[in-house]
Amino acid sequence: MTTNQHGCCREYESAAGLSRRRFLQGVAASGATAMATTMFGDAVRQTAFAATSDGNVLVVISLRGGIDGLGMVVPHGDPGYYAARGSIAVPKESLVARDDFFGLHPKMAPLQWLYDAGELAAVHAVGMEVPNRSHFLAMEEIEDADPASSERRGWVNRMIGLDADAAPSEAIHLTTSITPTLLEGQAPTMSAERLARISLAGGEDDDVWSTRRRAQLDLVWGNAAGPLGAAGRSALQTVDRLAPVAATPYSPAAGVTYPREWPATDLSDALKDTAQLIKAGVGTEVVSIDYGSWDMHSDYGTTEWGEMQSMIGGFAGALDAFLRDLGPELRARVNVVTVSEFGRRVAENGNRGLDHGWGNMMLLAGGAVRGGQYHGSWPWLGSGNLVDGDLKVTTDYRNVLGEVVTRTFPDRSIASVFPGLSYSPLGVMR
Amino acid sequence: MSATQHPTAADALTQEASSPSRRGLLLGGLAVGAGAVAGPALGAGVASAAASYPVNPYPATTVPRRQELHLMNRMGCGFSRRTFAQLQASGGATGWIQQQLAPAGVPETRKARQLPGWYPDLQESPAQMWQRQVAGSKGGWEYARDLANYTMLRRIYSDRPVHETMVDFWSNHLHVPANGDLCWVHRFSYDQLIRRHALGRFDELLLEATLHPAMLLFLDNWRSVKGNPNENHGRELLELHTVGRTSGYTEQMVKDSAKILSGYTADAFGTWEGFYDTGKHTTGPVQVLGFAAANGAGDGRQLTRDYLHYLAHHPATARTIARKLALRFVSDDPSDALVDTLARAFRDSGTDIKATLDVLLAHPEFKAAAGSRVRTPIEDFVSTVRVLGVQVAAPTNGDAFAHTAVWAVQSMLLYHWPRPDGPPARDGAWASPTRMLSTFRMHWNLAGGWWPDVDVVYRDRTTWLPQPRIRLDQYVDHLCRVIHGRRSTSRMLDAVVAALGYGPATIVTQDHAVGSWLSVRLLGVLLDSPEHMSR
Repeated sequence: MTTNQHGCCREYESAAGLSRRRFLQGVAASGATAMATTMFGDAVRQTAFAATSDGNVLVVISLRGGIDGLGMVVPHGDPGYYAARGSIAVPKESLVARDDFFGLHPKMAPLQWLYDAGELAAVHAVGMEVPNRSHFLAMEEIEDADPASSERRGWVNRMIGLDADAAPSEAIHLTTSITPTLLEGQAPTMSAERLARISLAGGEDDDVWSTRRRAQLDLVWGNAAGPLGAAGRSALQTVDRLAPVAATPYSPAAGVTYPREWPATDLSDALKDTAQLIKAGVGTEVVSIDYGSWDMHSDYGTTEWGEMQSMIGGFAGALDAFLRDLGPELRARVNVVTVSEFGRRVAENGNRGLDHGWGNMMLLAGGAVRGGQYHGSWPWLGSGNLVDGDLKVTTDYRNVLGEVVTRTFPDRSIASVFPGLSYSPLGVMR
Repeated sequence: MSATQHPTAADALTQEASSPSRRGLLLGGLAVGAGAVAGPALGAGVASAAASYPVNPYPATTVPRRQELHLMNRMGCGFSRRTFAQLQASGGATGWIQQQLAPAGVPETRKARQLPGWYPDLQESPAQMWQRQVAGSKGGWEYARDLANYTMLRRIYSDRPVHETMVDFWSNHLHVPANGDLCWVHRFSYDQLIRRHALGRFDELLLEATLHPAMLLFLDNWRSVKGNPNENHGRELLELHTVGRTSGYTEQMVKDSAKILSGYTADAFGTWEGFYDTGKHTTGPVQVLGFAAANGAGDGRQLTRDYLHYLAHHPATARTIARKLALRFVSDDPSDALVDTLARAFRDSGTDIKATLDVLLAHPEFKAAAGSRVRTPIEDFVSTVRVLGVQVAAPTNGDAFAHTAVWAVQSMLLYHWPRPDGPPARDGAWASPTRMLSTFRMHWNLAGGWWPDVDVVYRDRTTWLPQPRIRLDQYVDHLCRVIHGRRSTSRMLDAVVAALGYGPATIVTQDHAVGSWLSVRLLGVLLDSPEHMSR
């Protein structure tokens, strides 16, 4: 390493046996030969591990709009942070889950218990290899996660396509009915605002009309040809599998209350639906959830007021309820990871907000997370260390996702989920 | 709901006169004892039954010939009684399509002409739009939705449906997202450009679209600086808009392409107008697929015009356009022969779009492809509103149909595809389980007249009956002719019987359940079907 570094980086370096320079070379070296070898090796491994279905679940929370990673996971040990943010810096004393270099925004206090239990971690200075400061293009790239291919297919879709189960309920996007890029692709998936919306119009009541409706659709779609016919039958199967769950009133574990107040509302609903799906055990492997907007060019605020503290409060409250609702036993099978399309500028702008940047943080929660610590390689925030005023990316986000995928679904080939990735895990999972 | 309030299978059977049909029904698993409740018995067993009920035709409701229906569904915005009448008035398929390919000669409907007035904000200047977004009174995403709503209503109410379809085609090919960062301020004027050229000449369309500030802002050409041009636009021009990857251009050619385009920019965050800035043009020799120039002058405008003309007329571009037309209008896997034929027509005509379509329409592969493609959710929505005769009125508030139609589709918003490649045309892209359930819900919302329900008049459910008293089997045939533009099938009739619990001989009146409150379930059967969801 050429810069001084934080403890987390030393650990990373010893675990991965890589210097930053070598790491960056590894990112760049994605020659066709190397890729083919890896893929062949993984294909063999995949056969050997085929047909595992151990009920593990991955929850991906997309923090839309580009969250300010420096305000969520604050590098209080880097003087460059306080120098760049005269009016909106988070004071060191207010941080929670604080170690000698990092700490979480005070509104993350509801999750201190999780950090203390070793089930909450963060990775910093993470992101895409090449900056892209356009929201929608960056979202496309980060969720497609296959820069060499022009096919629009998300990494989650590639991953669920690797097992024998073709049920659309394997990967479910909640909060919007528009399928996000990470689920987009040839493997069937489901998208709905709420679990309760995964239902058949005209067939939702427990009465004779719903029964007739279902029989009618079997008649119409049972032998229908082409992709439309297949989709029709698949949709009916999904309803059969999920609608009974969706129609059952859900009560969280004793003593758990999901926050109702804005901005937690939608995230709460989605996480409550997720808990219900997990407990119902209907074979759902991935739940994708949107939470944002984090696009705070202005009104960023302080720890007392403004959008940042409000959004983080909503996030922490909802996630706290979800993880308590699951309880330790289910948390051992569930991993949560956050992704955002880019971080934000290190320096605040003229509106005391933050413009689009590059490096960011990712949060990890769950029983298999190596928590209670901060991971990654810190590039520092002094002027000589920034890239066009942004936090430098020292960890390819696919390496974090790759490790989470490997730990959650050991039978899936990383080379197939993240083609061309020179995989080098940081040790963020146990 | 109790069995006393609603018909049971036993009721249905007592009204069933035709014994062969009845036998078929019983074979289908509906053998219930007297007094048994219908619901559970009408289970999946019915699905395995072979077609049991014969179609009882209602010939008074005429249907188009197969090729006429194909033209309306594939080249237009879908069959409707109005379009069918228009087709008949123009002497049939040939006369209609020739009129449609010269849309200026087709009088536009009053409503279509009123539509721009329903979205007055779209007429604002880019600078005004930007100011309103900054001030918080109207965001770019709201202007984007205005354009999407406006466009869908045009497709619903226009008497120039083929023109509307080609506007969609070119909007997808030369895609600029309606809600894209910065470029949204110019998206409505870009739409007008597409409309002008949609059935004209591709070389003119390409020239204007490439240099339009919407495109310059979307693909970053406006950011190009002298000596370091932004490659985004130069690359997509080659890869997506013209010759395609298989033409074999190199990375150096991408750079040269960007060099040629550099200089075209826009006054972002100011007036937003597009202009040429010689100070941003990168000079020096360029070479792209046989196009070579010294590019020594600071003013590269004539060079750019020459370059775009060269690309428009390049054989590889002809293949790109030919393949895309065949994909949209014929099949996912058009034959090489068809693509070759279209490419030749495109080149021979000097990139004349209408001339190319003439060849496509006459091709046997086109004619053989009737009914084989999946309607996108938006095409389905447009078609559903048309066949249901929904009358959308001028919006009086934000809940109006004209402002909420984008949500009613229950899928990705029109012109909101986030990437430069435009939304996919392949069938598989629109055949997902999510899509099916969402479209079923859209159908039911519209068939029931439930939502959107402001500033809109749905057809009274009792008005669907073609005569005061009619047998259900005949009524189903009539409705298939109105909704699908073709005769009923036994399968459709079986499905209606399964859905309603009434037999084919049931006499339907406006006081009967089927003629009144069950109409949504009856229309739902016809809408949630491959017949309606294909084009």
